[in-house]
Amino acid sequence: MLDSEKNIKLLFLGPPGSGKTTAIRAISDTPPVSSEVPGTDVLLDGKTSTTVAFDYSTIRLNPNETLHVYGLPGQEYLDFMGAIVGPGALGAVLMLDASSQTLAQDCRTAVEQIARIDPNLRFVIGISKTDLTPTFSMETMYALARRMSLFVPIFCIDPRDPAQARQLVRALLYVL
Amino acid sequence: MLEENIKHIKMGVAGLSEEIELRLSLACGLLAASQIDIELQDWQGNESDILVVDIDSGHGRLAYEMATRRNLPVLVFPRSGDSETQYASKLERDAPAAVLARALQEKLQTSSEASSDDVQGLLGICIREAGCNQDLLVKRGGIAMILRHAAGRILTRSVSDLAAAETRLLEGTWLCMTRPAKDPHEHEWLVSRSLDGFLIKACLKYQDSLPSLGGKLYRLTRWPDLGSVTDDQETLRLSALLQRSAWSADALAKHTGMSTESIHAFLWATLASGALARADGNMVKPDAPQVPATASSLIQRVARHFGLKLGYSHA
Repeated sequence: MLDSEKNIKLLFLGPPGSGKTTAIRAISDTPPVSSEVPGTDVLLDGKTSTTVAFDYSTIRLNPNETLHVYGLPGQEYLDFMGAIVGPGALGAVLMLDASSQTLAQDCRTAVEQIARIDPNLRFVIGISKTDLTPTFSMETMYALARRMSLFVPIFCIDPRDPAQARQLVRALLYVL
Repeated sequence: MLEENIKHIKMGVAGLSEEIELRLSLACGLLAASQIDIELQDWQGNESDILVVDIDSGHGRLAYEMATRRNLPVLVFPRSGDSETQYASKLERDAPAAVLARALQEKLQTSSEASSDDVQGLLGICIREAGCNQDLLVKRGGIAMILRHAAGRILTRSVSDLAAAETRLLEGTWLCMTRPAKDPHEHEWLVSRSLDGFLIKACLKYQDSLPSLGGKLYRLTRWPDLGSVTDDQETLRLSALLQRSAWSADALAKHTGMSTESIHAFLWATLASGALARADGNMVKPDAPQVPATASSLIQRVARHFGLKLGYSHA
């Protein structure tokens, strides 16, 4: 159920380093307000910072309407943010990192996080860094999707490319 | 009746009696109502779309042998009293013209439907090996690529190899061999891309050269990976439709207003990547999305911002 016409929300979720902030930056009108902090975590894998709390940016649909884009933090201990920001969202984009050793588990955790926000919330899955991971196999994702009975679009994208980040949102609109 | 809608068929006949040929001629006349115009000709090895032969005659038997060697669709009047011999399609000797017309129409329909043998080159290899769980090495001249069907990936030494492979998609000189993976790190220096994305872009580029898939029904078994197919928004729409229900290419063209060529291109590409499968039964038109009217208009406005055409939700 939508919150209200004037408060349209789109969520980005996923583990740290999966490209949520980058994808939000790629589709937004304004640079996201990000609560990023210098990284100290081994999980950062080359990143110098990571998002805590959330990312926020906006997309102007018309003079009267704004799409509010939220990137929920990937850290488990910040899971409570979902309950605050998530309700009433139009849909969600789940970002995953193809190079992660725990890709399937990351996906499972994020899908559970979505279900806690709203069991009926529709979502799509974007997988980043597939170009940097030659051993990556979509079969991992398809097998997981079959096991979890997920019939959602799963796209490999480069979140830095606005066209590819927008493609994920378009796919989401088709499954709403 | 528009001339462009009429299907012109050359039918060869061999060894038919005058009486059977007369009934067959009447049957062909009946097919005019289905916009099928048949030109009957005595078959002497000349170009034909379909053959009708009588095995009772020597000419008929010879024509039958030649037709089966050439893979020509053939309808057979079996030897009188012979119910043993198996023929793919046979006709009753005393069948009335209407029954003959129906049999002809069915045979013409199935013979006009394309099979994987109708496409050559890299696309043909992908279609024939769609269920392959092993890595395949495909080569043509200086281009070498690894097809990983199960993984949904295609790997090459360079991006320019991918572009070159795209331009040679239908050329028949590709070599293909299985390539057992030895070292998990052996692919590290290769460029890895989505197989779905590669095939869809390549097939759309060469859509005019691809054969029709006829009236068969198809359905997606999974969403194709369209992350990199950002230039063509219609592929998203086709995917949404084919994911919900089984469609034929013609029905999709009518429903979406897209060209049949681009629809065939999408179907060939997803067949080749393993995302699409033949569906049995009848086409079920999908229900409109159950979204409240206000939410629906809101989604339309968001969709418009993201470059989707108004009315996209009619997918």
